Amino acid sequence: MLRVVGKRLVVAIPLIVAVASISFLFLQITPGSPASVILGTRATPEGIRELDHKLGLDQPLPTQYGDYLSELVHGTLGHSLLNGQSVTGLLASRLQVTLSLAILATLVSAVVGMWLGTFVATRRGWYDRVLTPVSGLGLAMPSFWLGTLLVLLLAIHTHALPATGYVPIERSVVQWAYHLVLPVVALSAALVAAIARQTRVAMIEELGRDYVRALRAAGVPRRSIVWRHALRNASIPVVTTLGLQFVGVLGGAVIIEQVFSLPGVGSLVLQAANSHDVPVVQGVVVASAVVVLVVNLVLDLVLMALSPKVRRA
Amino acid sequence: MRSRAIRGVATLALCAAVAVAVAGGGGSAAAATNSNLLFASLTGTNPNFDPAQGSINMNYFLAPVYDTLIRESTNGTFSPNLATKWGYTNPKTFTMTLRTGIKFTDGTPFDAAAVKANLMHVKTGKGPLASEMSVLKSVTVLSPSRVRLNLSQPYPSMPTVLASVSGMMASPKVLNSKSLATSPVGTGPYTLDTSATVTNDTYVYDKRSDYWNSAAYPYKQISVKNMDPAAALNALQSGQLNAAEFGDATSISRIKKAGIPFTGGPYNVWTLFLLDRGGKKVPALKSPLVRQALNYAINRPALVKAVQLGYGRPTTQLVKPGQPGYSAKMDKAYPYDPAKAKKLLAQAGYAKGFDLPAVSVSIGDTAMSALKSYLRAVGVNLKIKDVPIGDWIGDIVAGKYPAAFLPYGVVETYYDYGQFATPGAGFNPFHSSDAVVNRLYKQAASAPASKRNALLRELNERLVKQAWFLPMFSDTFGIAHSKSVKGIVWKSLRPPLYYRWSPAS
Repeated sequence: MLRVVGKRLVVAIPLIVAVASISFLFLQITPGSPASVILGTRATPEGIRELDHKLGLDQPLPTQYGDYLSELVHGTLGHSLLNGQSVTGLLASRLQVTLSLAILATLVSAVVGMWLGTFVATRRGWYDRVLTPVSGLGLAMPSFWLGTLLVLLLAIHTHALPATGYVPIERSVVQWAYHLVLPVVALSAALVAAIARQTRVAMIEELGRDYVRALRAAGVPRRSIVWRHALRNASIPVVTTLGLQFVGVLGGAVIIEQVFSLPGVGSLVLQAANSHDVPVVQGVVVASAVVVLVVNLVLDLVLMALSPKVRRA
Repeated sequence: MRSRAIRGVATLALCAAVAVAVAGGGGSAAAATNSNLLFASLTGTNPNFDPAQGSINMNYFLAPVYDTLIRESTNGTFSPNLATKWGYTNPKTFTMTLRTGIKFTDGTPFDAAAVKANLMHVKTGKGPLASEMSVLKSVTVLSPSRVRLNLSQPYPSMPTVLASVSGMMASPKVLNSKSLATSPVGTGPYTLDTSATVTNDTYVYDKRSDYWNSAAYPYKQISVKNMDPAAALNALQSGQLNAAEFGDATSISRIKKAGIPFTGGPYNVWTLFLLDRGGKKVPALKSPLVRQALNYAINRPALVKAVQLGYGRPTTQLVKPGQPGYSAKMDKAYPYDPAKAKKLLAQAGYAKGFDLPAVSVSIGDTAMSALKSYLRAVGVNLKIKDVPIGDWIGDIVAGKYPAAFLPYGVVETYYDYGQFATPGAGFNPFHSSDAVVNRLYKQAASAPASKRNALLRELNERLVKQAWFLPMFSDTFGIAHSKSVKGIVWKSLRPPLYYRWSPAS
């Protein structure tokens, strides 16, 4: 296991440098001037030139790239062009929100989706006929639309849950969870549907295998066959999907954070992109790459724990 | 098996219900109360607490921590704040007497030297407001409580400028420190609580116990949050917010339908700036007849209905009602008359029309599409080039396009004429010059206040008659608030923000 972690870390460093370099180049060729945005309607050609100079944006591209890589090596990711705030500091204050949202949405979809899929696979019949259209509905519902609908019903009309906002977990665990109920439901609805469908198919396949018949013949209780043996094997493709979907959830969080006004990385990058705050956008790209690498590593470790085949590979 | 499944579902539902009940069923850590004011800014601006790098959009964030030198009231008059007396001793000299006994939150006394340091900091700061101080030649400290501003030319806008972000005073000890961008040190009624603040999202301010005008700011805490309009409206309706500023027609329409109190008024005039009045890129624009024809070609009331859902005001001028220079009769100068537009184009030698390239951004898409249809009907082909917002203003001031879509909100008439009507103005990139405009602008600069308004009005009427612009309508901006707050008066994103806002009960 340690060897796997070591291998991944060796690959991660050049990968992060590559991601950082590509994002740097892409953002450099993106049209738009941060100086023009900062000066707004008070901009003049001279004013834009002076501010570009002050912010170092008139430096040759290789110089700017060198400065950026130097910042990256020192782990600071640069400073916001708008208020000079450290990008690392900005990300640190926002990551908790986005990760809370993404981890909870993934957990909820894993637990509910796998339970639903297993439940339907073991019963079939009309449960099966209901799951397909209902999960189709879940997949078809855009998270922002569902979020808006939930706010309307549960926040504005009934005042049961908050419409917006976030409370840090260290301030109050209950309030933290309370404020995340609606965003997590909105974000995980489609994931629940997808996981339920995949679990159902995988479980039907597993329950038809010879080892299940052998377990039944040996008198192993049905509950144990389903939840201990079949689900363990069926969960391998499901866990792979969950890992991939976690990355998708990070992307979906950008919209959900806007709907529920959550101070996460999504809203940070959206504001930064609108105001051409290039260092912040680059910082978010690099941070996202790190998160994806960590998720992939965790995924590999989980799969190794689940399957001896993967361990041996 | 089935009963176990049902029991499982029931248990899950019970857990969820208990969790919600424990959480307080509607209570929120961010709930609006009588001691906490929760306000949402929808300008999408992240504050820089260095006033030299500030802008009018940052007012919501800067106003709690900084006092301005002069206070502008909502009816346009001025009242004392950090300066107790002020005035022009001659058109190029502005003198102020300062309030004594005031200290910045770092203990530095507020005095004439602090004023000098701040104003020169804005002038040399290369920020958005440096142009407001461009005529400031020097500042003379006459005594600890008296200061004189020496101007390079007459500048009647100084009281307005000093009542806004340029007039916000920060401690001279931190003016050149990088930390000022995120850690303000002012004399204002509140201090920024950096531990509760989430940068670029929510800013939390705690009331100062030793503030000199404490009664005007009854809230113990103010939180200002950057929000999306839809989320802000949801938060307002669910009782999570006290107030929020709105500027888009869809939200205002929802606010009105929901019966939420709203105070606001006209702000930006959505205008196609006809920049190339010398005809360098588009020869047709040189003729006033052509520019007038364009003004006759559009149906402004229909545009207000379609683009602003009725929450706007048709207009043919950039100056708004109530502002110096506004001319009511000019709003009737160009009724919708496509036949007359065609006739004027024919008179000018453009009976077959012409191509008119114009720069725009996504926010103007609907209005520009409608404008394009109206102009096409009289033979003018408006060729819209949508650019990223980061290029938009830069492209306009660099003179890359003969025309430009720009929603422009005049704040102080004389100052704003200097932004778009004088030969050296930023929004006059082709350096259009009109002898009458130049004469009136110069006269208005040094005229006594009693005569200045008439000169500004004459100037405005000249610009409308010469059709320098193609204004369509003014949009509506304002503050929607819950019934738990009183005293909110909106005035073009400017102070007095939070001043005398108080709990209704």
